Amino acid sequence: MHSKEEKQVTEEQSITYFILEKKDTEKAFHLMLQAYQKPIYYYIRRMVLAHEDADDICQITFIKAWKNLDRFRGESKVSTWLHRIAYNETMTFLSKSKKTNHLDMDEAKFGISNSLQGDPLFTGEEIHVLLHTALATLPEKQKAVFIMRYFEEKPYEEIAVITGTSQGALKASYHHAVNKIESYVKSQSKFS
Amino acid sequence: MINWNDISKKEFDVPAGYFDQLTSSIEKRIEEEVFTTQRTKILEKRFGKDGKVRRIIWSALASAAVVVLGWFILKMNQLQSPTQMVEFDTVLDSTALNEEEVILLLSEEDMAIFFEEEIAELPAFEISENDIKPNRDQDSQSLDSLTSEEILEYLIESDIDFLEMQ
Repeated sequence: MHSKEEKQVTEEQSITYFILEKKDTEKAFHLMLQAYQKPIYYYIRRMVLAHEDADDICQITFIKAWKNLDRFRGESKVSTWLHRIAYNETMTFLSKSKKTNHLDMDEAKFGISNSLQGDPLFTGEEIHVLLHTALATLPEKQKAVFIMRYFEEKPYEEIAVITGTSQGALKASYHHAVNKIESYVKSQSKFS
Repeated sequence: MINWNDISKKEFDVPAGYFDQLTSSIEKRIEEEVFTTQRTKILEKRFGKDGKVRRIIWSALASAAVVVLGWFILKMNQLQSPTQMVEFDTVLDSTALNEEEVILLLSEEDMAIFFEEEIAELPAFEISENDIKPNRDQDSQSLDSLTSEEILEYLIESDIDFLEMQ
């Protein structure tokens, strides 16, 4: 009986084998889609919050992956490579929407809190609303690091490959993010 | 301090059957991509790598050819249309003739055209050999009884009649 981790390793290996050997790229892509669509979707969803936006970016991510499948050299894991595409696509989306929305920090926080509470697909509790509102106050890259480290429990080594940042800088960034979130949550509990 | 361990890591849900739908949407879009790529490859094979530019040039040339052909047909139709009527004022302006001379000129022109048309409408006039050559037997019988002066007079009258008939 294989454990979950062993199964993932086998899956990852077979996808990598199919891609690198160019045996059956369609099958490889289908396996990749089945294996990674959920983690990729949830990463994007936590970054952009709205389901419709997450859906769009997720589709773009996998289509880009398909188009660039021949560029995958096997230097990192398939999931890391895929996550890097998702990270870049999400950053592009956020920087575009920042340019069009022009909201100040208070308006943004108020909007996030309201939209989360009114979203039927948001199943979180009050602390999740506070957590995501606090995340909105962070720089986009710091927010991405926090999501990958806290929610997805990715090792710094992998986050470094995805974001193209050194592990030391990532550790510092995560530490700052945690402090900012804690101080935000604390301030909200104090004044609410 | 936040007790991070108490915070659940499942705060978002998705619509029912969403991931199946996502898979089929992505695979459908990829099929379209593959179709487009194959189509592009075929076009590139046919027109070369710069096929796009070449296709644009060809379509521009074809459009220009259509325009030129249209213009040519229009000009041909204009050439075949009846000539404009000569008007009095136009002739008067364009020549050094006085009014009377212009009237005379135009009348002559009109008469010439009128005669040409009249002649064209006349039935073909055919002269048989008998009309030209008199019946020798009949004539010889009647001429026998005539004097030389009467014969000469008869012949002159015949000629005049013949000329008048023509």
